[in-house]
Amino acid sequence: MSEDRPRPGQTPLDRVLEELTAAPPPSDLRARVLARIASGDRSRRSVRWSVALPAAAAISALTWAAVLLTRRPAAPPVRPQVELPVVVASPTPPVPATASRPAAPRATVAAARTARRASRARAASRSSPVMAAMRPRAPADDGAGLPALAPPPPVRAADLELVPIGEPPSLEVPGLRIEPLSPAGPNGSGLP
Amino acid sequence: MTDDELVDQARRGDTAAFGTLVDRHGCAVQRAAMAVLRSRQEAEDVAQEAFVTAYRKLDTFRGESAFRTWLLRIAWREAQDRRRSLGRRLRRFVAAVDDDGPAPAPVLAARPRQEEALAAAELSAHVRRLLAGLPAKLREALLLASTGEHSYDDMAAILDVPAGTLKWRVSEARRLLKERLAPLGYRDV
Repeated sequence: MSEDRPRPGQTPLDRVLEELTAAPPPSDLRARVLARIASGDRSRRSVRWSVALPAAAAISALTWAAVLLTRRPAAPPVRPQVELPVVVASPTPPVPATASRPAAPRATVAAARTARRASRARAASRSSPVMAAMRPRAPADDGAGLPALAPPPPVRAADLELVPIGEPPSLEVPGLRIEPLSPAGPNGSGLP
Repeated sequence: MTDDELVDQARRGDTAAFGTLVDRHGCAVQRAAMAVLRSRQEAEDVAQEAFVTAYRKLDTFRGESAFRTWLLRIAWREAQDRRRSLGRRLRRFVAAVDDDGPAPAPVLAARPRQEEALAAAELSAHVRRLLAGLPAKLREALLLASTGEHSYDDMAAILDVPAGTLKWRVSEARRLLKERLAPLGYRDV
């Protein structure tokens, strides 16, 4: 042990300070330590934890129970009510008019919704006068509301009649004279 | 029998050997804890925890330092943890120390005259109050040094600071205490 050691107790202040950390009276420290070691308990804090952990678990369970008991029942999912037509002549029992559509997978529902939107869009475009004017005529409609004409009969060679054509008409124009170009011109190009 | 021999026996399950170590270093451990906690009851609890912890960690003791230093380091950490968890109680340390009952007070026993005893008690009350106003690092270093149990090197190892730093803390704490005691009429303490 080093000789460089504090020397307490030299002044009144030192004596007071030494008093504050005075050696404790003889205690059963050894007995308590050995008892702890022999019992094998983790520590006093561990003992406290062994009490605290079940208590915390019980409190947590009670809290969850209270939450579950006081929670309102969950509302059923809102589904579109589809009125199905009543089949009169069917031998099977009639389907209730307000029967709900059976639950379908989410992807199927989305596809059906998209198809309904496209159908509504097509219907709207058909009803629009502008779109109707731009729409090409149907082959069976002549545009005047009359019935369509019957297709022409096929042409046969026996039905054809040969007609002589005669001389072709003259292309001359009065007052206009056309002269042929001379291949030899002053510049060799035939132009004047 | 040396500490190392007792440690070897304790490692082999000889609890009586460990009991001897408790007897040998119990006082130093409790005084070190007192330097941090300034409560005798808390110091005893910390000493108990420190010895139990040391027994369970005996296999990790490699003998690089003295067993006493290693043990005091454990006790110091335990005391620090306890002080942090009991900060509210430590702010009322004066009452806590007073509640521990009469101190052995070798100082008081050494004073024959009652006036001196009363003056010492008054000074003690002032010092306890002023200690509470010191930074914890200065206060703990000063009180640990005041035990007279350890060399500066040992204390530096316990506190895990350089010895020079420890000496400065002790000196600074003492200077601050004297500076604050002077207006109270204690100029030569």
